[in-house]
Amino acid sequence: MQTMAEKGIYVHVPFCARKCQYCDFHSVVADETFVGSYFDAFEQELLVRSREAAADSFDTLFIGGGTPSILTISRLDRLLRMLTSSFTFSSSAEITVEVNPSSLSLAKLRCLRSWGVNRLSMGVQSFEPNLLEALGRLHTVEQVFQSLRSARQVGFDNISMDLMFGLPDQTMAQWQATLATAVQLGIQHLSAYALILEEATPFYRWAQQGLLALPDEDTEACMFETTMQYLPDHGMPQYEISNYARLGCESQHNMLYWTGKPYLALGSGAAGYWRGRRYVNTKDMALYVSGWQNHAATETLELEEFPNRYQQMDEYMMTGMRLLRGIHGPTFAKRFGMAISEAYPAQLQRLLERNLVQWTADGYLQLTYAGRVLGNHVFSAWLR
Amino acid sequence: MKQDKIRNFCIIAHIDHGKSTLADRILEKTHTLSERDMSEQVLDSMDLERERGITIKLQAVRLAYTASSGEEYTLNLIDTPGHVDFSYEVSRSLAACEGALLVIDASQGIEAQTLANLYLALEHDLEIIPVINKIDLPSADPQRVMNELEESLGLDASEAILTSAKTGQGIDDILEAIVKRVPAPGGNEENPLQAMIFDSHFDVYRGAVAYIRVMEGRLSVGDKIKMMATGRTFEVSELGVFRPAMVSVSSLGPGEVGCVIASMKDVKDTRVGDTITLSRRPAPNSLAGYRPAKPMVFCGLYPVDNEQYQDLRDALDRLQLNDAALSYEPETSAALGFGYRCGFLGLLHMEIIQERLEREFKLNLITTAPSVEYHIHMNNGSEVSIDNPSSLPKVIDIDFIEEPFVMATIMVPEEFVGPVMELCQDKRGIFSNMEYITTERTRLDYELPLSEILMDFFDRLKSRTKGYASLDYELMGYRRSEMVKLDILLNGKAVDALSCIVHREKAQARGRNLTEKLKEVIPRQQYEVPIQAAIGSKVIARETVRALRKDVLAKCYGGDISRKRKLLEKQKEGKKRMKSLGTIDVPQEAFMAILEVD
Ligand SMILES: Nc1nc2c(ncn2[C@@H]2O[C@H](COP(=O)(O)OP(=O)(O)OP(=O)(O)O)[C@@H](O)[C@H]2O)c(=O)[nH]1
Ligand code: SF4
Ligand SMILES: [Mg+2]
Repeated sequence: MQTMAEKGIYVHVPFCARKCQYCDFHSVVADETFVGSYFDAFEQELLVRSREAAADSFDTLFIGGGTPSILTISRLDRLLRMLTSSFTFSSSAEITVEVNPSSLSLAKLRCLRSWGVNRLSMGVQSFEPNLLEALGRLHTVEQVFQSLRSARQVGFDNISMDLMFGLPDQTMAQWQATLATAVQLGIQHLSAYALILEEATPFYRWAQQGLLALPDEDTEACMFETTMQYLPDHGMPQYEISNYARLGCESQHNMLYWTGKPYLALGSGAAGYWRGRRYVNTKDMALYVSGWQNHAATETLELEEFPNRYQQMDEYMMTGMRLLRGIHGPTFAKRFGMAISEAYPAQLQRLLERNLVQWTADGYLQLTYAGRVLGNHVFSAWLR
Repeated sequence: MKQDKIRNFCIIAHIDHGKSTLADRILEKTHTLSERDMSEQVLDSMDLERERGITIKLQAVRLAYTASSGEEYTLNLIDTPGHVDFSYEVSRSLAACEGALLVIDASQGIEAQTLANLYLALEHDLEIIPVINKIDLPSADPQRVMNELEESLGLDASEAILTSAKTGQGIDDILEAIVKRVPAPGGNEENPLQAMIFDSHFDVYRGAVAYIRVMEGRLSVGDKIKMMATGRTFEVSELGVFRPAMVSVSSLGPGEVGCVIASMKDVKDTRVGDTITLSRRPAPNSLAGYRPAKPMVFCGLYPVDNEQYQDLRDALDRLQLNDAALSYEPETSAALGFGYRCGFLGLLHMEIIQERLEREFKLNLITTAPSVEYHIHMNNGSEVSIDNPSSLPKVIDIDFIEEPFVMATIMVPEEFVGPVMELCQDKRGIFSNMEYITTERTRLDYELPLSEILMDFFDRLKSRTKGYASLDYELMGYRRSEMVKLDILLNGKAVDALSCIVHREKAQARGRNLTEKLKEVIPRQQYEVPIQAAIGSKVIARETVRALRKDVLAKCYGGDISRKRKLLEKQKEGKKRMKSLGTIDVPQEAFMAILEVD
């Protein structure tokens, strides 16, 4: 792995061209006028937060959403200019933008590239036309290939894709084929998520009404286990519970989340962890806009917490155990002044007994194979 | 206060016939509570009572009433629960009164607890005022109910008062009837003090608070009192009456109902049924007291977290002050660790106690499968009683087993007599008597094993009679039965807390149903978990809970760790009521599964 990133910035772009049927991420479909007033407010937030971080140098920037790639070229251009001029980034900083195949053009990609964006995270989800349609995605399979070609043409050589399994009517064979296609495409990074039925989505309602033929738990587990086998066998080791990458291509930004590192967050609904404070910007867009616009410059938060030492410890365990390499015992002890075994004697004992976690020879506490599948058991064990 | 202007009465009825609502109207009529403080069934003050819409605790209130004659009266009302599991509350209330309003729903008519409570009131020699309530309902049929009053209760129907606790109709008549028909309390102020403790509760600041009815003599603040059963003495620091909140008074005379606070810090200092007297001039004898409640159902109560054992003990001590029908003693289980064997009057009682312990004392508990008490006759001629299936002696040492039987009274419209008899037969019932009261009302008496009533008997009764049947029962004695112990094995290991004693003929079916049910309620674990039902060493049924395959993998929301944390905490919360038996997490429902299977 490369040298570890220490600080990052997350920017949330809460807009999509259309809502996918399963999605409860914070994003809305909005007209240009509203997007305009949103970004006016956003720039105020950016100014204020950049002052908080005037002396900091950042190693990652992640522009996620929503769908950042639906923004017009001029807006993307301005957004990236503002960001790169207001914050200091280290020379090797990882700069990622989330893109959807339906909203990409060569020109847009060139624009991203020109501001130093060096990583794309592509919302692909599936290579099966019928599944894409069922999910309510706007793109076609052909557009995925096209986007990839274009991205490479303008010089992107670090590309990630999001894929989903456990979809209605999805078969094991389809999932296998999807994985094979992804591998053949020669991408650097892959995130594989299970479909989760979130309340207040059409999928949830349909499932309640019995309209979705969802794979049963065992099939879904099989899909997960297949993924954990297939991708590492094909040059993409699993480094986190849902993430796989060619060596050296692990997402630096996501690593910040799992290792208790600080990150600033900008945009409605964005979650940050900065100078010991966890905060989530309001998801109420009108409130967000009125809060920041006209130089009012007041943050409206949905949540603000100052985790105490024990909460920090719990969160460090909860997130750190997601990494396959696990948590380095001595590093934990140094950070919190006590060993993992002192901080969580009973929990640790229990998980070890149940063979969900294990110690490695070089001092890492990590998930076992069973622990990976039953991850929530392990992640929640540390919460007091 | 003039003793001849005191009237003490309670309100008794079958469940839901409108006692507490009637009490509301009486409180309003007598201006006891301002409109602002009024709510529906205001005397049901416990959260649990409000949530379930039923009365659990007796509740006393003092009212001031100006009669039509212009004279001022002090009335003391006690609202009582109607559910059969809380009949101990009723009988203690009766002992503090001279009269009772017997409320009957005008559309339902006489039901099982109407009879049961009436008999209790007659045993205490109370003046009965029949009240036919809910006459506002379109389905009300007061004439029919009056017939039933005469036919089955032997009461004079012309004395019944027609009311609607909803509209307030007839409430004046009730108040007048109380003044005219209920006798004033007896007792002499000059006699040595005799005050009966009919209830109590524990107050963190004041210690035990005893609810009393003064029978003889007078009690004043500052008096040195003596508890006649324990001999302990205290100085009275405060006396109160209920309006319905406690209001301080300086003394209580004969016939009055109120409460005593006297720094009784030890919960053992006040005993419901004990007599309070003055230490400088003690009464020669104590009052009759109450028959102790006879627990019918037993189960183990265990803290999910073993460290809460001591807290559970304290909580039981304190709760018992407020629930005289609760009994308990320590027990241990190989599966669950240290806990208490508790006795209850019924399953609802058991459920309520568990909830009160959890809410009022912040405990997290597991209750084991309920059982009745069996008499085991040994080959060597000795006899032992057990209320925990796991303490059943070895089969080869047992001569025979006796199980408790109850006399069940079922009130049901004639058209459902057939299905009800079938059900009773199926539950090993023995027919005892049948009586046609009116065409709408037939009374069936059956001898039934108590253990069968505890199962899903009442639910089945209701479903077979479209909800028209009502049930009351009373322990009648023990009968010899062919009982066997059914063991449940998880992962090949017998779990003592899941054992039950069942009739031999039903063992096979019950074992099968129970394992099926357990398979439903035990969540998937990391390993496959075989569930077996066995009699002795013979396995009679088997199911398997398949292994949990996955519980992970939601997409993460751009670093929103707080959200992730909350989701995980929520999931974890769901597991709280699970007890780990070795490496298997077993939820509370598993221990109750026995109640839901045939
Ligand atoms: N229509 C009508 N409904 C009534 C009347 N009296 C009571 N109710 C309703 O009957 C239901 C039961 O009333 P409660 O006063 O709680 O009955 P209860 O006898 O105190 O019940 P328990 O204490 O649980 O035995 C409630 O929904 C009341 O609103 C009445 O006179 N007319
Ligand atoms: S594109 Fe992504 S954020 Fe937008 S609606 Fe679809 S799933 Fe949700
Ligand atoms: Mg009531």
